[in-house]
Amino acid sequence: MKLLRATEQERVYAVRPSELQMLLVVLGCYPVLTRSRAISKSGDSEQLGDAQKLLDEAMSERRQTMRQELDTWLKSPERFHQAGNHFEWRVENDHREWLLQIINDVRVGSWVELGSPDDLDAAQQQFGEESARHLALMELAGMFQSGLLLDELND
Amino acid sequence: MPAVNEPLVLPEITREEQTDTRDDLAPGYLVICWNDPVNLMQYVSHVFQQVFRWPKEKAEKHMLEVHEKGKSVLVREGMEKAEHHVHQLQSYSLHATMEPDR
Repeated sequence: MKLLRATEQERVYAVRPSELQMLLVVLGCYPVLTRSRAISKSGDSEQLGDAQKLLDEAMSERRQTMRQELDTWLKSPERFHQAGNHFEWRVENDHREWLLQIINDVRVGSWVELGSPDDLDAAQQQFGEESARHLALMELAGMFQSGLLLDELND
Repeated sequence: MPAVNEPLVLPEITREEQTDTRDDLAPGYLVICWNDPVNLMQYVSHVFQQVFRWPKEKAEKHMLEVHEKGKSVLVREGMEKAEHHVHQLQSYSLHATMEPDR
C-alpha cells in the first residue's frame, strides 16, 4: 500500500491485488466489537448508569449505520480502479476518519476476541488455530491503519 | 453667581447575561485515556488531534503519557461535555472513561 497522490478532496493509494483482497476481508469483518467499554472505572452513581446505557445504545446504532454506509461506499464504481499490476484505491478526505474508526474497530475487536492479552508477543505463542484468524485480522487492520496515517509523518 | 445645574450623567450599569451552562455548575469529570497494547501510538496521537483539535505536539505528549504511565488525563469538563468526549474517543475504539473529579 502506497500513497500515490493527495488532493483537497481525496487520497489515492496503490494497492497490490493481494492487499486489496486482504483489505476487503478486514472491512468485511466490521463490526467486530460488540460492546462499548465501561464509561467509568470509579463512578457508580445513577447518573453514570444512565450515561453507560446511552453510550451502549449510541455505539450500537453507530456500528449498524456505519456497516450500511461501508457497504454502499465499497460498491462505488470509482472505489478501486485497476491500473496495470495494481489497483488505485480512492479515499475521500471526508471519509478518512470514518474509515480509520472502522479499521480500528476490527483491530481492537480482534484483540478482544483473543482475550485482550496484555503481552501480545507472549500470547502469540499460545494461540491455536482458532485464534489465528483474529491475530491475522488484528495485524492486517494495523497495517492498513498505518498506511492511512503514514502521510501524516511528513506533515 | 448661581451654580449652573448641569445634568448629572451617571454611568450606565448593565447586567451581563449569565451564560453558565449546566456543565459550569455541575461537578467536574476527568476524561482519561488508558493504555492498552493494541492501539497504535500514531493512531492515538491522531485521534487526540481530531477530537480535541490539539496541535500535534500536545497530542503526542498525552499519547506518550498514556503509553509510559498507563493513563493520561485529557480534559476536565462538566458531565455533558465529558460524556461527549468519551463517546468520541470510544468511537475510535480508544479506552477512554470519565471519572468524577473529587
